[in-house]
Parts: sequence; structure tokens; C-alpha cells
Amino acid sequence: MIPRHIGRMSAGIAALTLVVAIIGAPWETAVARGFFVVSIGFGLIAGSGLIGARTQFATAFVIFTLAVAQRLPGQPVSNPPSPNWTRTITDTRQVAEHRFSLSEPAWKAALSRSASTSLLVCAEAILDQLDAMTVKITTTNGTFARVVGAEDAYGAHPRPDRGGFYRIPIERDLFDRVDGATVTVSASQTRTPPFRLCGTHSIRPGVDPNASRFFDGTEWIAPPGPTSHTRWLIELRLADKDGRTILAWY
Amino acid sequence: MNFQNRQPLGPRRDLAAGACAFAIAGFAINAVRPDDSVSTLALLLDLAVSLWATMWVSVYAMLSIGSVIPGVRRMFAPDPELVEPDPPVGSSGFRAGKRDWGFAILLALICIAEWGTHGGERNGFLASSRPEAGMEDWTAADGYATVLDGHPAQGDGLFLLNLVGLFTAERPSISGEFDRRAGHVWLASLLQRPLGSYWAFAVVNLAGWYASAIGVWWLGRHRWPQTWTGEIASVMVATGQGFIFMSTAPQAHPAAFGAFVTGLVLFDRLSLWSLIQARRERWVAILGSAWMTGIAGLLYFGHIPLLLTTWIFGGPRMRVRSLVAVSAAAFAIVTAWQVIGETLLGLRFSGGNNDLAGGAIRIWLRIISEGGWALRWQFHAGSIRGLLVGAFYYPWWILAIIGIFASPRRSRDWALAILAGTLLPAIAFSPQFRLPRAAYFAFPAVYLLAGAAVYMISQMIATRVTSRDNHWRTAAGLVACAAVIACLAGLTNLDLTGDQTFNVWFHEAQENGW
Repeated sequence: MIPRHIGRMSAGIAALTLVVAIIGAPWETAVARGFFVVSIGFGLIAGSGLIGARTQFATAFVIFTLAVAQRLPGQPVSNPPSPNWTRTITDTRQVAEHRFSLSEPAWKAALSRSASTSLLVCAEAILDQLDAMTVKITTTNGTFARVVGAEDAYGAHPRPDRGGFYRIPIERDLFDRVDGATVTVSASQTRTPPFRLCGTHSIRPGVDPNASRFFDGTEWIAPPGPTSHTRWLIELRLADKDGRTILAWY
Repeated sequence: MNFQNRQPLGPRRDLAAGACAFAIAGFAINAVRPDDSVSTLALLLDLAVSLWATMWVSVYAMLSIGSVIPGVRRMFAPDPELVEPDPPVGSSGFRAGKRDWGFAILLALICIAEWGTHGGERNGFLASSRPEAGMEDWTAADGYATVLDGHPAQGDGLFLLNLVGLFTAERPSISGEFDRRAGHVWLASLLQRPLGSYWAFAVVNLAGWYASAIGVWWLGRHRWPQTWTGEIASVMVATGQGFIFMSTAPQAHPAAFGAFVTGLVLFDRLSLWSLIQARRERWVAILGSAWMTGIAGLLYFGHIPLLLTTWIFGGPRMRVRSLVAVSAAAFAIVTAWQVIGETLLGLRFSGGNNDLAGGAIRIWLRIISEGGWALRWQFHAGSIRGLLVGAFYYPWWILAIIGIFASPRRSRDWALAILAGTLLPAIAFSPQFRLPRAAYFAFPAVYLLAGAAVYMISQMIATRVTSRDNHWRTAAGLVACAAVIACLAGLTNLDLTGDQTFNVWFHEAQENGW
């Protein structure tokens, strides 16, 4: 009895799927859903008929269920934290700060294998300037400061107005047996041209969500960009004797 | 009549293409002025392999497609299908017995295990973009990443969310880089509400992965009957580099790979290649095949390799009007989405990934206009050998080459048509980007040929077991197969030890070094 009518039932469910997909939806959504229900959905139902009537019925039922599930309240399509935001630094009093935790085994193991250490800072619009920003790194072993400019550009810099890395080599001794480091970036004292410091999301588990901060001239605040999972694009890089990066850390 | 023992008259297209490729590659190496591309033996061999592979694929495709012309068709040995039709599908299909169900469950478990262990931050697409992989110098410590529902995911996922939002009625229609792949996003949007974005894309990938494994198993049963070729090849799919690389990445490739294999199954199931169908059956085959090809084009550019395969394998066997009908209907489906998207939804289908195919053609035309030296240099600068080895590492190619000789001619011709039909677009695209993931559409052919080789080797070992009990021989064969598959799976799972070499090669192909 079932095989005799099952083909019609599958066709009925397919038609119902189309109705469920488009009825009451905004017209753009209805058009888009309708096209793919007909092209892919109906095609899958028809194709599964080659295996057997019961398989065809099951396929129709699954697609119908998914079309219903698509209409039910559930998880919204949420925007991820921005991977690429910037903050313009215009004043020498403004400071971007990122604190590194260097107590984790992954860092210590890589440091012991590394041959060189460097700091990477991402910024925009300083390619034609020789001394745009001052970078300072502090650990319990001491402090290292450097004015950074166009000559430190590293990696891909497609256009001056696009973000790119600036690489500052750092003596490895600064990190020997320390559990943390603090990096600050500010506009150079000699010139104060505006430049934009890059920020991104913070993914790695265990990283302090407040590791990055911004001093706007009057108080310390969270950096701009998304309200959580955010950080300045300031990273430590460890490389082996051939110059290959063995760890990128933030 | 035993078709395997019948020696058809006339040259074979595959051998003729091989000879032409040797001649053209030899000419390009010797007649064009020397440069760095021939300065060392390793570079010379890299160039030679790149030129030969490209020429073989191109000439084989031309000779096969050209066989729609009766004069060209008569120049070559008649194809086995013309001498004796394919075996009926039911004779080699699944028997739905306990053993088949058990193997289907085993395949599912392997796919799920590989998918689960290569997800999130361990995803090969994402991991190979991190600075430690040595491939990119512009990415941050997390690589080219986005965060979907709190999970690290490959960065392109960010650009798919507007389309997901359109399907879930949360966002208006906004044009993006992936307008042409909206079919994949629609599939994910069906799961978005219950699972969220990250898991919706991941589950679609898993479905494409499993469909590919089951499809290759079926194709192996059908085209290499009475052997374990299908079983071996399907495990290679379940542990395949391309699927492991994609795992949970919000990308259309696994779904497109699944659609490609499903298309191949459907073509055989509908006897698309047969010339002895009734009119109604023929039209069902044409429309069904065209529909599946169009669907592959709505997910990714899967319609291109499917259509090329159809023309290359079907050229010597099918009516021209059938080939034209399949192609026209498939393009009609793909074009229908573009027309509807542009006119009703305001999508632009331009910019970013939408324009890459046109860009590749423009680069080829510029290179050709610059003369023979520039053309040869392209095969050095964009090593095709590096592209092919990035998609399938040497052991798979070596086994596949052995499998060519171990397979009956009808299976071999079918596999070679898939190889040519899938590698041609990847090679054509290579001046723009060398993408092993585009060449990976060849996996049904490579894995089934490799499976045929592994089966042959296992039987050679089994026959050396001096036992009267057949069970011991079968067991010896099984152990040999399992050992080879385990070694191959060990290579594709090397990233679990922290070594991203194969993921990096799959991401952007090998350079000129071997």
C-alpha cells in the first residue's frame, strides 16, 4: 500500500516545502529560497527516487523538516568580531598598550628553540614616514624602545593606506626567565603625523580579554572595535636559525 | 564475447596523446632559448613533467571531444562500450546486506573522526595560513581567521554571512564575493537555526565528505566489479587530503566534491553513456545529468569539470545532440540563478572570487601573445607538477599510474576522462592561482586507480600465501590493503603532529622543488 502512494506523498511534501519556504518571507528571501528549493531540493527528491520510493519519501521529509527548521526561532546570524579595525593616533599623549603573558609552556618551549625574537606592529599610513611611531617593550629584565618607520616595513604592503606589519628585532635576553611583557605604541615625539594602529579579534583561549588597552589622553579605556575578543595587532614572533617563524604570540 | 581480451584496431587516444605530449614538451624545452627553468636537472624535470602533464591533458581532451566528428572517431580504436555495453547497474550495486551496512557505518565513523579531529583551530585551511606554516607573511598569529559563534573558522566564512542572513530572512540582499556559490550557502542556511553558522557549514561539509566516500564506493563496485577497488578508494576519500584540509572550514568545496561524485554516479545509474536506450530513457538521462551538473555549478564551479568529463568520455560514445543538450541545460540552471540574482535580488556576481576565471583567461592570452619563451616560463613559474603533487602526494600518483595498467580498459578510459576533465580547469586557472583544491576534483579517478593498484598488490601477496584455506589468503590480502591504507592515512593526518607541510602544499601548491 505504501509504495503505491508514496510517490504522490513525496510530491506533496515537496510542494509543501516550497510553500513553507516562501510564504510570509520577505520577497527577496522568498525568491532566493524558492529558487534553491526548486533547483536543489526538488532535484534531490527526484534523484533519490532512483534508489527507491521509500528513500525518496525520506529525502522529501528531511528537506521539508529543514525548511520548517529554517523558519523557526533559533540561533541568529551574528556578525563575528571584526578581524580588521583601526584607531587613529593623532596625539603624542595617546598610548596603545598590549600585555603579553609569557608564562605558558608553549611560549617557553618555543623560546628555548628560537634563534631570534622580534616584535610585529601593524599600522597604516606611515610607509612614507621615517619616524612615525615609538614602540617600547618592558619586561622584568629591562626596557627596549625604538622609533619605527617605513624602513621597518615587513611582509605585504600593497598600498600606503593599507595596514601592514612593521618588524622590530629584539634581543632575546629581554625575555629570559620572564613571565610577561608590556608593549606600548605611541606617536613619535619628533613628529606627530596621524597614523592608524590596527586591531583584530582575539581567538586564542587563555589570553586575558583585557590584555589590550588604550590611553586616549585622559584615561585608560578598552581599545575600539568589538567590545570583546579584541586586541591590538601587536605580536611577538620567534624564529629559528633559518628565519622561519616557529611561534606567533599575542 | 570477452571485451578485455579483444584487441581493438587503431591507435588509442591516451597513448596518442602521450606521444604528442612528449613531442610538444621536448620541442618546448629544446627549441626555446635556455633560461633558469632548465638550469638544473631538478628544474628541468619539473618543467618537463609540467609541460607533459599539461599537453597530455589538453591533447587527450581534444582527441576525445573531437571524436564527436565521425572522421576523428574512426581514427582511433573503438571504445569497449561500443563493442559491449556497460554491465547493468544492478549487477554490481549494493546488496544492502549486513556487510555493506557495516562498511557504510565504518566509512561514516572514519569521516566523522577525521572531521572532528581537524576542526576549529586545527582546520588545515586555517592552520596553513598561520605565520608558523611559512606560507603567508601578512596574516596575524591566528591566521586568516574569523570567529563564528565563538569557534575559530577559516576567514572566508565572514563573507558568507550576508547570504546566510538572506536565506534566514534576517538580512536584505547584499552582493558579495560568493554570489555564484549561493547553493552551498542555502544548504548551510537550512541548518543555521538549530546549529548556528559554524556547525551549519561544518555539517554540510561532513555530508559532502560522506556522500563522496559512498559515491566512490559505488563507482568502484560498478566499474571495477568483483574487486575491493571501491572499498579501498572510499577509505582513501574518508582519509583524503582535500576533505581533511577543508574539514569544518566554511567553504563550498566538500559539498561540490560530493556533487561531482554524485553526478558521476547518476551518469552511470541513468546509463548516460549508453547508445542503446529508448527515447524516453535517453531524455531522462540527459535531463537528470544536466540537473546534477547545474547543481554542481550552483555550489561551486563543479559544472565545469563535470561537463568536461562528460564531453571527454562521451565524445567517442554519445550523440552530439545529447552532449549539447546536457551542457545547455546545465548552463541554463547556473545562468538562471545569475539572472534571478541580478534582476530581482540586486546581486552583482562580480568582484573578488566571481571574476577569477575570466582573469585567468586574460593572463593566458597575455602570456601567449608574449611568445614561446613566456609560455614556457609560465610552466616553470607556475609549476603544474607542484600543483598536482599538492593535490595528491607522490604515493597516490604512483599507485594511480600502476592502477592504470591494473585496470580493464573500460574502467581506465573512464578514469582517464575524469583525470583530463578535472585537471584541465585547474591547469587553466593556474596563472591566476595554483589551487590544488581545484585539481582535487580528480579524486574519484586518482583514488579508484590507486585502489585498483592496491587491490592488485594485495592479490599478489595473497597468492603467495601457501595455505589451502582461502580464508587465510583473503586475510593476507586484507592485511596488505589495510597496511597500505594506514600508511597513506598517516600521511594525510601528519598535521595532527603539528607538521603542516601537506596542508601548506594543498593550500598553495608546491614550488619547483621536488
